[in-house]
Amino acid sequence: MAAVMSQDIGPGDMPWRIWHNPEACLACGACVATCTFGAIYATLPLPLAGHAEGTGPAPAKPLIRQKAGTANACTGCGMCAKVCPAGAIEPKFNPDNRWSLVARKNGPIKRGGRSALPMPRTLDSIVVGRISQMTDPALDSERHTFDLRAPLGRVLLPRDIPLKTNGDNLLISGKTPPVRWIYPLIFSDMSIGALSTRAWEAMILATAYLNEQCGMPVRMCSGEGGMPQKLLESERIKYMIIQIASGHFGWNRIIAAMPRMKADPAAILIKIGQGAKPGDGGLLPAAKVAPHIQAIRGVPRTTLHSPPNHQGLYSIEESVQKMHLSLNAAFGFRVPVAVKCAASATSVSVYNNLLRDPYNICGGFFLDGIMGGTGAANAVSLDHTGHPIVSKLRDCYRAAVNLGLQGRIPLWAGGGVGLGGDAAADAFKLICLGADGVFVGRLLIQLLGCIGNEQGRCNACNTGRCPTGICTQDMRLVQRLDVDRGAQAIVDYMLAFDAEMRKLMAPVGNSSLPVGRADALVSTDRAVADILGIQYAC
Amino acid sequence: MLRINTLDGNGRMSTQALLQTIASAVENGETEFHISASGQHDIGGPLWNREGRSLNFTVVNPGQRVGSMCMPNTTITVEGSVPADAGWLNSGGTVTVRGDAGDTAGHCAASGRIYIGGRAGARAGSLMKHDPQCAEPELWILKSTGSFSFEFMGGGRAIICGQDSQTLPSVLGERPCVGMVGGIVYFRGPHHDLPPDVQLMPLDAEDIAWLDRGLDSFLAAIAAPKLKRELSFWKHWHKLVPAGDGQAANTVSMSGFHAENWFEAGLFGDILPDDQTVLPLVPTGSARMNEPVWNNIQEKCNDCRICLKNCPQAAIKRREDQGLKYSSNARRCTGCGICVAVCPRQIWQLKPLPAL
Amino acid sequence: MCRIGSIKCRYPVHPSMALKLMLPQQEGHDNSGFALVMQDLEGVFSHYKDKPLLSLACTPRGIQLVNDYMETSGFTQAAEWLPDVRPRPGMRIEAMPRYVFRNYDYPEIYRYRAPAEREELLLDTRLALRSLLDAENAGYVYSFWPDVLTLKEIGDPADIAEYFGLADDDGRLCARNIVAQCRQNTNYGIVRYAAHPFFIQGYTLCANGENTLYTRNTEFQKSLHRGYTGFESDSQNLLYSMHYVLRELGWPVRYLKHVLTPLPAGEAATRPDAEALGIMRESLSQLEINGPNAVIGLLPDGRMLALCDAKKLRPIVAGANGDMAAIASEVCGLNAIMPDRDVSRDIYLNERQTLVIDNDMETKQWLQ
Repeated sequence: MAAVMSQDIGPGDMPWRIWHNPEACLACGACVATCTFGAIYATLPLPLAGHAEGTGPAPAKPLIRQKAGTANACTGCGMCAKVCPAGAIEPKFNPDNRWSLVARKNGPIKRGGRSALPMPRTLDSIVVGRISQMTDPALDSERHTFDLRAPLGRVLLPRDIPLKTNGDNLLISGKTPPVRWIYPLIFSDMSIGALSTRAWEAMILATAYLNEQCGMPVRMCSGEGGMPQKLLESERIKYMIIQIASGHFGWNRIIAAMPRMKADPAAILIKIGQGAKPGDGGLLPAAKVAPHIQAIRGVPRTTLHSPPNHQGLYSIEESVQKMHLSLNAAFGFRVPVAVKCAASATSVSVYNNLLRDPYNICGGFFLDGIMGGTGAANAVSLDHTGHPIVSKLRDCYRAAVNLGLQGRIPLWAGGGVGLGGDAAADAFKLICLGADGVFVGRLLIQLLGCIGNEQGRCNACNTGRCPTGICTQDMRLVQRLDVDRGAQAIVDYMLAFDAEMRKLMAPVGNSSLPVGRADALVSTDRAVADILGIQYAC
Repeated sequence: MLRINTLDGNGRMSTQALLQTIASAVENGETEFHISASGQHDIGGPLWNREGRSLNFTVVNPGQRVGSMCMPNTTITVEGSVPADAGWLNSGGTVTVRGDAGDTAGHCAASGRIYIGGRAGARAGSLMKHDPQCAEPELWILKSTGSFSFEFMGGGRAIICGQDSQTLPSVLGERPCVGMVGGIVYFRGPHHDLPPDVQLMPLDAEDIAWLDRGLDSFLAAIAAPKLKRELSFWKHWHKLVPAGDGQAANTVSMSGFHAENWFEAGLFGDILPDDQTVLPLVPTGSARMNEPVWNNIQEKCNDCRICLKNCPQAAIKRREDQGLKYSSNARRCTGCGICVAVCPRQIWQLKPLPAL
Repeated sequence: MCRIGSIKCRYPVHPSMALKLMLPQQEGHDNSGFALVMQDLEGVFSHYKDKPLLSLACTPRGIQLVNDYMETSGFTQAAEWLPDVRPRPGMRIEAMPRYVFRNYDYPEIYRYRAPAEREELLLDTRLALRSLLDAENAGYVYSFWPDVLTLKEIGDPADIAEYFGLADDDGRLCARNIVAQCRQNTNYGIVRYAAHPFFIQGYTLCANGENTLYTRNTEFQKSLHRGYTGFESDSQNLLYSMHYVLRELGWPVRYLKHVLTPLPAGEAATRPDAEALGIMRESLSQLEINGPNAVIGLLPDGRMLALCDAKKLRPIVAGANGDMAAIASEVCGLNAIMPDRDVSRDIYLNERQTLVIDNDMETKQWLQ
């Protein structure tokens, strides 16, 4: 037996330790067979006398052991526990691990998921504290009608809208920028490539079902990975917000498909950055650039970089003109063009610039907070860069109020919406603080079956070994995902979300979204109340 | 007969003073009242005579909630229109309004009769209910109701005669009967915008007999007996009853939607054929993460058959026809590596399989 | 909760008629004040209909401030009516020391200016007087407009009426349009400016309602017009929206309802003017009112309008007898002043309806 040296990596150094109960174990091997990380193996407890000669006693029941080291580290995904018929195995978090030290021997730690830095959730210190009690009647969430619609597109000031009086009527006497009234929750940008084809298809299937069967005009953002050709040429392109990011992946094929488009997309979203890893670009390793990814993105098999910056944009003004103007023009000024930025201390300046743009070509400002998710990032970016969404959204809204331009460029907020599971509460609070709507990403893959969490479980989206078939292109794993069940889970959640939004709107007596009605909220945290300009309550 | 005039020049008797005056008169045995009101609330209930004699009120220009919480043996007749909540929580009285009633007439009425000789406002008859200990409440309306009528109605009968209302889009207003779970709404005239909570039905013989009898009393109360003929063409009438639980809208299943309405061969079918097979978490064949290899290059295998006995899937085969050979059947094998673990001479090795 | 009422009549009527309209509705409000706006005046004001009338309640110091400002600004006093107040011990009224109703001649340089310019001057003057009076806590200026008089006071409406002699019609104070309300208390503070009706540039509005969460409306209105100030009551949002839609944007009156309570998106999309409705809603979504409301408006041209919220959560009814039309929260008010009208023609407004009564007593109504 090889000697163990003190600097060797042992199971005690690993973030997750496999707990195994050999008495209960049936030695069925399901745990080893299911583990996509190769983190465990079966072995006999001790060398048994005579066993090597095949003359000793029948072998004892095998044990399940964990591999130590960085190559096959257990991610805590728990699939072994899920498949074990005897409840004999389970990964347990190891608080004494030395992972942040040992895992950097191959360079920076990379992973998917969200920031794992323990930060209090601002939204949880806020409650809907202004309830219609005698001052005015609360509405009835089941009986009354509610209008859950949010604008996406550039909205003109009333004095600028081209309406002319003609007797008792108003006639339109000029052109206005395109505005879509959509559901106040957008399925946020996760690319084909970052996601498996099945995961992406489940999302658009859910989107179509919500639109066509439930009357909910939910829109989905493509992410920066191109668009399936069939969708580009279908009426259902109207459900899509097509993203363009610094890599412009797939856009050559999107442009080529224009003559065959039967409808306009819902919008175009220019991605400047994302909350999970602001200032850091996307990266799709060559290993994940499978033939179908090459076909969608229009690239050869190679590692695909999205630079942190759009090359050739030197300033805010240029970015507005080049990106916004070009994309407005490309779709004949019929499609709203919005921009997505990671929340930053500078977001207000950006929003001010967009609001002051005289050409009315920015149709939405998507602000993504630090708790947003990603498929792959350096852990140092994930954990330590970015800006919490709540106060920055509020700052932007109040900046617009100061200019008298609130509502002119719709504000959409994301980055941790639904983090505790209650997306409706998060959405409602953000809307009261000034958001027109919210976007969610991670929540959707969690509904599909992703078991990653903020306590370090799994988050191996960057490895291509996703045990739920969501963030991988390995068809062995992709086939673990049932598209229909996944889509159904998203639809079920959205129907509950819709009912819960009514449950929040009804007690404050609002039948349309209370955008900017921050007087509906109180905070139990004095500092939060002060910075957001809402009532403090205790 | 006690006559009360509630106005004196610019002075007005408050609701409180009026109700106390009425209550003490009832206490003293008075049973007949004529009240010239000036918008005072709650006239008429809940009052009762100790000897069980009936109380009769004639009222002019009352305020809200005339006849609210009205008891059996109380009869209230109002000449003219009244504001909101006429007959609210009626508990057995007969409340007649010979004019229009404001919003929420008959709200929560649980017994007795309310006769409206004109129109009723919004939310008429909402939450009417039938207490099995009492006769069911009735709400008769000569013309039409405002919007949101009969919301959450749980019992009793409402009758909207649609007189002089046939040009309205609906004699029931907009969005009637939302959340209605009990009772019957009879109506004559146009309707639209019915929620899934109710079903529209023709009258049966029992309904007609009941309406025929009731109509006489109603028309007598509102002093319009001549309308009987016009209102008793029963083929002009319909009734609404709760749809019940079996009427839930048919929802399309996700797999049905996927099969019927989706892109042929799937969204990515043109570049990545996918038959939508769903694999279990412990797969076999090429979907395995690993595969065991019997690597007997140095011919160390002593044919102990321990692997064969321990393979949980009984996937291992032993052959002798062309020399000793063990193999694993990929259709059964999950790649769990138990064979590798138990092999005394490390002949079995676990080899990772490539991504598909 | 409050109760509102208005009267429009071919012949001038005295405020006692408004009191009579409001009296039977007394239990619907809390009896804490009385306020009215009168337009198209007769009696003592009949000779000064074209001269802006200042309605003021103030301290002696307030009078001084106003006199100084008006003199400096070039306004000259044309007429003055001081109500003959009748205090009596035990009255429930928080009277101000002075009530002033004065007609002014325009400053020399404005005599031949366009009406629109004069209208801006009148607004600026009222705003300036208000801030002067506010700075020294010296009183309240309610309106400054030709042929419009505003009176607001805190206390029991009956006592206020007696104090100002409003209960007896002596022919001195009467008008063809009166909008009245019997409540001073608001959900916020007891502030005279918070009492309905509210007035700006010839537009008067009175509401029985609650504009739930009105920060959003207020924040936006502050940026729309310099005259949109105060916001002591959430219902001022309704006045400013009416003024903005009808005067500043110049839109037909039927679109007011579309701005205050837009149609649900799905339904708006089916309308022939869907596109215009969409643009309107996008642009003016901050003016949307979500709470329960019944609203009475009086326009500069004398048209009176009524509408209510999209859920029909507050009562309102209109009736007429040929010479007179009235709108009230409760029908018992109409019954008190027009017992012999044809009640079958009473209009109970619903959640989609707008009612307009013009100067010929013709009523127009339509659904949104």
